Amino acid sequence: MGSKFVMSDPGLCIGCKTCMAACLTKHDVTGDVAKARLNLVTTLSVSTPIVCHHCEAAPCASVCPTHALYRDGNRVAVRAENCIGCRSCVMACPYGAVDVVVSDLTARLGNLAIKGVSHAAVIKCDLCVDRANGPACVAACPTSSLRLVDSDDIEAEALRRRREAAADKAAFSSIPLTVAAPAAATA
Amino acid sequence: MEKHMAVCPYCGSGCKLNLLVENGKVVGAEPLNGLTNQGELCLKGLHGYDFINDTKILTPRIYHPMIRETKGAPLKRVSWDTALDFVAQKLTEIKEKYGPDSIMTTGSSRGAGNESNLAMQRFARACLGTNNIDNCART
Amino acid sequence: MSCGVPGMEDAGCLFLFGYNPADAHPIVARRILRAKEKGAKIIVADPRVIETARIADIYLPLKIGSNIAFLNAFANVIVSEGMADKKFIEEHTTGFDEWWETIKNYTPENTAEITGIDPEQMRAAARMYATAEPSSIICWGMGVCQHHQNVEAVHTCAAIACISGQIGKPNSGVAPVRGQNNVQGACDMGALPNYFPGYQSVTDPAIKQKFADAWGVPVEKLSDHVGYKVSDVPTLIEQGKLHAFYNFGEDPVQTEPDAKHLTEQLAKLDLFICQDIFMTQSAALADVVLPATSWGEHEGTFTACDRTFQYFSAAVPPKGECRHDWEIIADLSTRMGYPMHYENAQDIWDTELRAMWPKAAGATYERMQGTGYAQWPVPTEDHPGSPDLFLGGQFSTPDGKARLKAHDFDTPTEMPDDEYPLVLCTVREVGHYSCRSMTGNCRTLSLLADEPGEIHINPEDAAARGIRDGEIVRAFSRRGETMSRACVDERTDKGTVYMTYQWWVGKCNNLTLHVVDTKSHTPEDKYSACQVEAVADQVWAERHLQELYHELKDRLAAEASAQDAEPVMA
Repeated sequence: MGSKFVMSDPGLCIGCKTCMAACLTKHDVTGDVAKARLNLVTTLSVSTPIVCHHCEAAPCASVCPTHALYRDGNRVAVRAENCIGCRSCVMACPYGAVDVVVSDLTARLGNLAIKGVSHAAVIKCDLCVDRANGPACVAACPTSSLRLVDSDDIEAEALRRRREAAADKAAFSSIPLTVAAPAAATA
Repeated sequence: MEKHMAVCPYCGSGCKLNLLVENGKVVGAEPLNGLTNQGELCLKGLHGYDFINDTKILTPRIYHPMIRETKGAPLKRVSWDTALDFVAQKLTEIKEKYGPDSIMTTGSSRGAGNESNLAMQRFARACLGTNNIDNCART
Repeated sequence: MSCGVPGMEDAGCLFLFGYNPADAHPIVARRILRAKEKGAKIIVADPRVIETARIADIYLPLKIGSNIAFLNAFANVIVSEGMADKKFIEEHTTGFDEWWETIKNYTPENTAEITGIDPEQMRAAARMYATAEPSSIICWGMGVCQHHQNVEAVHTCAAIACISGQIGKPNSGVAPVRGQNNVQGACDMGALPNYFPGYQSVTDPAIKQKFADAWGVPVEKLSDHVGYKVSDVPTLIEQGKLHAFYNFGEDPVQTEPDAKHLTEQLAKLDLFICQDIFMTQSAALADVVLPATSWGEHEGTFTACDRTFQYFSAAVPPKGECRHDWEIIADLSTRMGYPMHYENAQDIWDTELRAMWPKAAGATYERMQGTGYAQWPVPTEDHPGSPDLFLGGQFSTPDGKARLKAHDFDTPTEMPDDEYPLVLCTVREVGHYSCRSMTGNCRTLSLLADEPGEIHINPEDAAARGIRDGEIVRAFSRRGETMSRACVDERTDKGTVYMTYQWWVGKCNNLTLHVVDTKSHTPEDKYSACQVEAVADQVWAERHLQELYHELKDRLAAEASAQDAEPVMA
């Protein structure tokens, strides 16, 4: 089994951002960044959250000079302490699903506040790996537009499409095909 | 963790949910299998509870009655007795001087609930003697 | 609504006219998806490509402000193409001939210039709506009500349902989907200037007598005329007619049009009372601030948009000195010489509503426990409640018949011109609610969407003004100005900009026109002429908006901080 990722059905998406709210809340804990890892994008005909595909040959991980991004089993994981905020991953991701957030921290030396200490964090989907029931966004979506797919699902979908495509080939036969499909026979 | 059944206070869908309470504080919300929502909630239903806890993100909760003794004076905290006597006296004066229709009241089409609207319209009609009561149905 | 929300998914056709469920009611939008999956036809008429337009069988991008021309032509098609339900018209309506005298003059062809709709598309939509089995529902929202010809549009929507016979059967009819969680309830409970609880007229002598008796007051003490509407408050103050305003659980400075004028007028009141849970912008102007318990701290009932009464419990005890709204009101009334006493919320419900309104008599607290509910009319305790109204074509008029009413089209009040060439239409933010005092204090919701909000603008309109996506822009009208973040959006129709009314700094109601229609007195919030321009110095603009936001929050916190001191004698 290969990568899993969160996929949306753009017909069922109503652009309500409930997934983003769930994601943001999941990451709203000490030591993490309260920001949604998936972002709703709307075009004229499509509404969908865009999120990391956890690519097998992940370009973000390939270009990361400090191995802050790396493949961990079925997903692309983040080693937060390694991030230097170079944004190579942001440039490399073909989905625009990786972000780098820089926060200015105020360090204290006794009573002296030293400003300008920057902390960089890679913001991308972690598949809620530490959440018992899987991704928070999938659980929250009120229209069941989101689902977690893996390579088995993708394989099954490809098989279904191949069968559909094969059925459509009947029209191209040079010799009439006489055995009709059961549905057509009863119609 | 206690669970208390509620109806979402936001849009008019009427979604049923449980408020999750820990140590006297609302810490979460989860959907119930209500007539309309069938176990689903949108982002407002799921994340719209913590204002109760006075987060002061936008503006503070009000916990005590306050009045301006004269127009333009700063607000001052007073007891409930003082505040309500002040209002009762002023409203009575205005009603006597300008008539009951010089006073406007509103119901609330938001979290207050039906019962408080019933009380307010009775107050307007039976106590003040006016039908000047309305709600923000037009916004 | 003449139908229930769950029943929407079993209709054969849903016609959304000026209603954007995905932003206003996501959980209703979910039902519309289910309807589509079950085979229903979806028609969307909206100037914007709203979410539901993407899954519509027919999408009609009508020009903003053309509602009556559109609806009249739509109705005309149903009659002139022989799709009218003659039996239903004959048996269950009156006034068809007079109605047709107006409607016959409007065709898809002769209104195409006004509506911008391809006549063939309109004809196809009218056929789809009128002939759908087993039923069609017309759904509308503020895209009908906040236009100048709003009551006219409601009349016409209702007439369309009647003449097609698409009302009076299950899952059919008209669905004005109420926006706020308890706006249906506030109206049901008589928080209206013309009705006692249960839509019982304040000018009907028998009804007046009934309430006078129940309330223990002489009947002549009850006013014999309809009261004022809240949208007229600023005008009434200006005319010297209003001297006191007891504002309960609303924030008109944020939600009403022309905020500047309203604020000026509120300052002239002899007494301005705000009973609220937050130090809102309105409460900050008040002479008296009364702290009420919040949702979560009190129990009670709400009425959902489809007339469903539901009970909600208290989760946590009241904070500080907060008291239940009804306790404050009853205490005040008692101090003014009219004693009001209630044991609890259920006592009010039973005595003030169930005993006074026959259609709600069966809605006991008991049946509303858990996920229970009672959908009115529910006249007895063993009555199942009524998801559908007007079954069998029985309407709530004295003769039981629907009155057909038609109106000629009129243009909006403030048409765009050279100086203000764009139309401002105010809409809703999906992650925020009403004046935002509640959702703006919720951490996740405020992190997801915060000031100054967005102004949605068509790419061509943006390009013509040198406006780039995500930049701060200045928007202004004859009333005032504001700043907002541009969202260059191909779903937005050319010539119109859309702002959500939730933002305190990026406040669209600085710009809106305060004109109300003569019948319902609803502001024309969907149509104000305005102009938008780019701001050259984006760094300054971002910082300036942050400063304005901090100043506003600091000012409200300072007003509220008076409560931190121990009480003083007044």
